[in-house]
Amino acid sequence: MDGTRYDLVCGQGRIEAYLALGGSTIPAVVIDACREDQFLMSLVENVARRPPSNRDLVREVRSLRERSYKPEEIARKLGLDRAYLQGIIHLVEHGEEMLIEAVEGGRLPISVAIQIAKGTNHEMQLALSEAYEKGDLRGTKLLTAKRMQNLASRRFHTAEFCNIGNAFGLIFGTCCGTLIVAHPMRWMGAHRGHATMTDLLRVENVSKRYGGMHALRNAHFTLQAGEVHALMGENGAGKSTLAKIIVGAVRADRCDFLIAGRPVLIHSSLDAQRLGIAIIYQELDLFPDLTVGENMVVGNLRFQDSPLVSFARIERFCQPYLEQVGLTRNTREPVVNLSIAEMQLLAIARVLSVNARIILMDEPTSSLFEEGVERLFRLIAALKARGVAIVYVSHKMDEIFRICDRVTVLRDGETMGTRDVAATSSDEVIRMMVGRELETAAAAHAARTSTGDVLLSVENLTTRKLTNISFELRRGEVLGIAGLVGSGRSELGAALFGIDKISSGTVCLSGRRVAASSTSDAMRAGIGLVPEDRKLQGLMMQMSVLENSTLSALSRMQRFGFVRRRQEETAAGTIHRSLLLKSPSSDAPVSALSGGNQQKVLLSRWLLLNPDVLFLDDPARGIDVGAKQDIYRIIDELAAAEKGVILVSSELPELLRCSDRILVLNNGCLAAIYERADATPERIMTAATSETNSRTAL
Amino acid sequence: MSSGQPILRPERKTRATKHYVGRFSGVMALLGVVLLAIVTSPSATDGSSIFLQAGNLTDILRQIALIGIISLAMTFVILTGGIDLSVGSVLALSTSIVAMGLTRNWQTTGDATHILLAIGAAVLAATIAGIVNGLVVAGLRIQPFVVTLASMIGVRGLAKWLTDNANIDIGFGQDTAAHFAAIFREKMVVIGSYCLLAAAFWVVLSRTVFGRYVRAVGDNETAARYAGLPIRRTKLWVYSLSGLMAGFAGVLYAAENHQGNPNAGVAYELDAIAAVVIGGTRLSGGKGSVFGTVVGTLIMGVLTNMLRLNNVDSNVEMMIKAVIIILAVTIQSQRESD
Repeated sequence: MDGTRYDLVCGQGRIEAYLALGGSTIPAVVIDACREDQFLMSLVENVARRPPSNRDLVREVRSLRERSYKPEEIARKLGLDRAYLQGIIHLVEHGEEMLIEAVEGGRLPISVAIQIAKGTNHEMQLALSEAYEKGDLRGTKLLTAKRMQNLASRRFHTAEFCNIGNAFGLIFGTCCGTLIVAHPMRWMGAHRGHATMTDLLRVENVSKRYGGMHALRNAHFTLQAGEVHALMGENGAGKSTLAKIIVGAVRADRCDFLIAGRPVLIHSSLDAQRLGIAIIYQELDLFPDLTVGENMVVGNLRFQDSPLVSFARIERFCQPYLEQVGLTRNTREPVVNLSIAEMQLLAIARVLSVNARIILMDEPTSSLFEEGVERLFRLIAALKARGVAIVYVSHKMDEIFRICDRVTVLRDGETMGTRDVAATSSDEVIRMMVGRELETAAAAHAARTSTGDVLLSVENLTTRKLTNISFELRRGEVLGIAGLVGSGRSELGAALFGIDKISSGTVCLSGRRVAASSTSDAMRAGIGLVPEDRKLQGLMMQMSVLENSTLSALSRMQRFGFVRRRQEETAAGTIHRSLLLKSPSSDAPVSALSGGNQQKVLLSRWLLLNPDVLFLDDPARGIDVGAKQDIYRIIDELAAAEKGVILVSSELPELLRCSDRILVLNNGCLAAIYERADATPERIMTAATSETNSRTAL
Repeated sequence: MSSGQPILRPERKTRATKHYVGRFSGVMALLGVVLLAIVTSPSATDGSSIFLQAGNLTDILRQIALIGIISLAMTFVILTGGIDLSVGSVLALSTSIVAMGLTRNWQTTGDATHILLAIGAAVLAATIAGIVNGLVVAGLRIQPFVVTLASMIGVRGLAKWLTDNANIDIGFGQDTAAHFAAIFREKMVVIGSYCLLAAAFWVVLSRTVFGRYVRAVGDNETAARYAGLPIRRTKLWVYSLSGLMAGFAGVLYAAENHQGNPNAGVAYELDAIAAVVIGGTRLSGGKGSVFGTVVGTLIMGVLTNMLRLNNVDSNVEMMIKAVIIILAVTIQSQRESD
């Protein structure tokens, strides 16, 4: 392909083709024409075959008009239909110079030109289709590079150059000498080897401050077409902020954006959508009560032309995208009926439907089961083959090494570097993320021996969701709880902490019976619970870091009902330091903190209260390696201080790393308890998933 | 094309200055209204501005005191994510009871005891109304809007039933009731109580454990539960306080108007809520301040005064107030959308 001059690039894979051909040096219009491929192909075959027609008509009309002939007179003189003549006059008097030249040069049928001069995109498209059907489209070299650029710059914002509508593209196509309809597979295969790729997306000098804290400091990131690029870093390293800046959800204090080598501005999500950038958030932002179809089209500009949208139209629109991602649901099904994995597919289908070329995925596998993960990975591979670039934000090292091509690591808001996944190791990535070596699990664990007295004993505990659970927890022991989501892990905490009603069974703490009917009862008795969902159940997002930390312990920090501020600050400060909490100040709103640091604030609330038994419900969920290590260290310290810890976790390595014993729940029943020495991932998974609830495994 | 710099324009305000602006936007608005009032104020015969006369300024304070006192407690209610629609009716109940008490001939007591007993009875009744609100909201977990809407109707009925739907006049003579009115309609007593109460509420909200709980419950009730906070007790207190304040306002109302009127205080709850909202407290709870509410009350008061000095029709006044409320909330919501 090299060496030839191409005037137009369109069809699927156009961006890649365009980039590989040298980007901005080509006077190309990149058309959004995925679904017009057939039309375009035949168009290419048909151009430049028909002889010119009525090329002189415009010239004559023009000269007559210049001599002040009235329309009726011209019509009579040339024997033309009135309406047709009106069109020509409109063209002559209001049309683009280029259009008129094209007609006079015999390169564009007059009927098409009239429609173009008059019309909206839609009309143009119709006109073109008609012209095509009549067979009088033709193409010769018409536009010089310069003229093309002029036109583009007059008509369009730079940022939108790649989104010039189909109709314009087609018009240019008919005017241009050569058309390429690039097909991604063919093209990618043939040219990947020797094409020097410009970066599809390049962000540089990104800085963003929240209050006094730098979320990002001169970070940079580049993305190439057709790659899966992992974005990694500890919580608070700035990954999410960077992702949000790229999709226009957050505005940077400073940021240089280049798309395909051209500077662009992204001020809002709409800007990003126009540029073909989309994000799939961790908390899939779908509307649960709307239908699949409605979720697909909501916010889609193409559906804003009329206030009434028929289900049939939605269905027609959605079907191809849903098929593409493999979601076999009726478009009229409400989204609440979908599983999380299906919702994710829907979210992906939605970004595909707005023609996203760059898709950011924030922790996409965090709520998926194995099968869902596999399906997602297959889909990512397919997208990649189509030339879509994917930014993959995740903490899961094995996923990164499985599906990503490159990885960029952020630390404290700065870019630490980018590596080819093939040429790096997880150790290196972790070193880049953390800046220090991580302890090995075995070394940390050897230190602990649990020989304390029985602290908590639970007998035949039964609630709405649990059946006959019995276990003991000793002082200085960490009891891990394994089980699938919905197996009753969190419900066990809710029962112990006075949230769920206990219908039968007893809970004894240090030999004394606890009958907690409210959370404050449980708290007074010496049981603490760090809930699973820190935003919904944990933190007061509008209150400060300090206020959130001390909330439960306030009764110990007061005199006559007045809060003793100094005592409060000292106590919280000590805990925060021991947790290595990163916060601009203790007065900062907790919402300004990253996820990992928010989790630490929540943890500090309970550490301040220092209960005998602390139930940690998945405390390390969705947080990064460094913060995880900090939390493991705190768990070890709690055990060393003769407290009892119950740790729920979805990640087996985490349970195996921290726990002395592991209790497996299955469908609300106790399936097994393993000493750590006997616990293997296989055994635990077997117990957690077996159909028959072997209550006798005790 | 693209001759412009590709750099994003830096955000105009950092979070810190936003916070600063947010905190004082209410004060700025108040200053604006005051300036406007000074400019538009008609002149007295000696050429001075009527608005700035000491008498006028203290009048403003006295006029806002009733709504002001009610809105202090309303701030707490709204901070917990609730609302109290019954305050107007509770005020009517209190004002009726105090007038009834004063005009009854209680033989055994002297003036002072008589007055105190009457006030005590009125405030107690109002507080009980608040406690009932609180018990139902916290205990039965019914939406505060519905609960207080019901008590708004019920308490109004109670006040009318007690008084046979008649005004109970307090005379101007030398009897106990007249003494009561003379004391409690004194400008300094009214303004003084408002200032003291405002200071007290401010301290309670910003310095005490209870104040912290109030905000925490409103911010995230589920999280408050998981944090082991006494949610029910906090709510009970908040609604009781609201009843208490409405009751106290009712006493002042009786003195000022020389009558106990079971039809008093209609739409007071809306004025109080408006003051709270203008003061920057979020209706969904968790965010707001007593200081803001005081500023909000002052804005409404100065505005009313300004319009009346200029003889603006009172119906027009209501329309202007409507605009002010929307404006205030718009400014705040922009501040929040960060």
